[in-house]
Amino acid sequence: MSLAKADDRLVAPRPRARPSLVLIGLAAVTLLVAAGAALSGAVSIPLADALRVLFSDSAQPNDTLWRNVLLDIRLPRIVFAAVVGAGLAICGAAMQALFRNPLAEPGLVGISAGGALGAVSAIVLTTGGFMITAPAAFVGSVSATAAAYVVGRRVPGVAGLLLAGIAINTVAGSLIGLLTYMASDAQLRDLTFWTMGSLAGATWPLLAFLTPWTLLWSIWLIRQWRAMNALLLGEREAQHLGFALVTLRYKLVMATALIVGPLVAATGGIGFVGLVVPHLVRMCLGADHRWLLPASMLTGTLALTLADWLARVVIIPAELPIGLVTSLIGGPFFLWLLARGRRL
Amino acid sequence: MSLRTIDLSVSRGKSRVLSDVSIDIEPGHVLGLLGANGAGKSTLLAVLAGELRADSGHVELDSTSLTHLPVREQARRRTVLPQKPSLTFDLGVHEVVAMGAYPFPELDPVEIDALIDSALTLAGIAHLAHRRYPDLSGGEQQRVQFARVLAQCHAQRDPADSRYVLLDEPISSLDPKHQIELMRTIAMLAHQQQLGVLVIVHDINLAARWCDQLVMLANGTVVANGAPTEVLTRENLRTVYDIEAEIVPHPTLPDRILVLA
Repeated sequence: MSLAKADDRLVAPRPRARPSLVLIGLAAVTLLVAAGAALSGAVSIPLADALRVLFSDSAQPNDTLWRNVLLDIRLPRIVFAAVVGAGLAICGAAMQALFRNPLAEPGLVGISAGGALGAVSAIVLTTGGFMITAPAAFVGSVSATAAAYVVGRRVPGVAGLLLAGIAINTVAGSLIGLLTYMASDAQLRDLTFWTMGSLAGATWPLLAFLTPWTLLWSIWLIRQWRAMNALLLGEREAQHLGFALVTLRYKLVMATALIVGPLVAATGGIGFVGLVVPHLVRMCLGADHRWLLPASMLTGTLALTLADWLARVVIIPAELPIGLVTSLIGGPFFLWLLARGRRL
Repeated sequence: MSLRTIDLSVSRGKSRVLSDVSIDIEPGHVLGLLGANGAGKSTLLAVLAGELRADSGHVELDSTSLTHLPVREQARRRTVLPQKPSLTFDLGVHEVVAMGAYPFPELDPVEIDALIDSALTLAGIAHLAHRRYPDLSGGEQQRVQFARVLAQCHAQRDPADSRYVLLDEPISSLDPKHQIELMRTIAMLAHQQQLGVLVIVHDINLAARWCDQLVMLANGTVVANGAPTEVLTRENLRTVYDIEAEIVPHPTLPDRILVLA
């Protein structure tokens, strides 16, 4: 015990930020980034003019153009990025609790690929359209999550999960390949664009559905923070703390698939947000889900708004697919996490 | 009022792990469960904890079959300390102990904080309250988990409900001083607050010193069940552990004995 006592003195308690302050700070930064993203791009708009065209009926020379750019292109896209980022990040955090594994993420585990397979099937085999691709993507996500859960639990630790993810991604990828091969030229163009991941499909009617939908399920997830904390302790322990394990698992999987499915259908795959964001938040706030979940949502919003802004401005007037940007940042980050090895 | 098993049998695959086990955990008593590795101790605890279904026989919590009690209701009346807690995520000690209050949503934050403070003090780890769980040593982590269990059984305020505590080798990673302190705390709480405690221990002398009742398991059956002086005989120790031991009276405590192996 004397050794342990000595350690006590050597290892100072790691400071933790005040969660409420972090949340407020994140919200403020997100608003700033959103404002920046709204004003810059192929057409840059001065702040004063932006406020004028949004809040009055003035008719100065550039106003119609600026109003169109802001209202029809940039704002829906920013809201879209915010919703997608929040949804993917909170789902990542929830999956990590469910699998008790910090590497679980919708993309890595194959949930996104399952959703993609569902959506691609809908594009190629039916008339397409969001009303068909979204439920199809949901069915794909649920099946993939179930498969990952069953297979991933057979092999303990990170390995089982990643192996399951590889298998699911391979199967889904090859089926998507097959469907692509069958697709017509017009469908092909849709598909290629879609699989790279893009927020260009942002329209107000789409957002009118996706925003409340994602928000509603996210709030439901946040309300389960106790259950997710208990899961970190262990599955048996969660049951000893009064959470019926089978029901809890089922609910978490369904909620995640309900969020990720439509998001994947609407954006194509946007990877690594669900992995990287909760990690960053845990480094700063710890793993208590009471704060981890809302902070992940905000950070996801910030991350994707920022990524989309970058995607739009680095090669003006063209733009990068946002999936490419998140992978370019997320891939190396993931490598770094694996190389770092301790306390994921 | 008791947490008890009646003619309990459990099989895993083809082999029988427990056969016809009947034990009674009564409020106000510490029951020590002894047995060699693989005797079925952890399986018995898992059944009492509601993790495993019995193949035959019953488990009753205050005369209600465990299968008829919702998980939440079980958690309000029975707490469990598993053998190897496997928390690797970065949670604070305070947050881990606070989980003991999860089955009691009626408590307000002030009551929960008081609960956590008293649990930390009882477990002797008030000085660790602001540390991060993964930074602690194995023994310290075990005491944090013990504090969580204490918080959970103290959160139950209804005097009409009895409370049970199941501890699977709670002292395995502790040094001798903390082993004794934990056993003393368990005995004190059981006697003062009418907790029904089942504790799996490997140290025969700690069991002989602090338990009111001992149950010895061998190959899934109960070999002996009674007061330490009745259970810890040369013959039983030979049957259960395959050891030759001398039993001598405790030099200072009249009802207690020492086992010299």
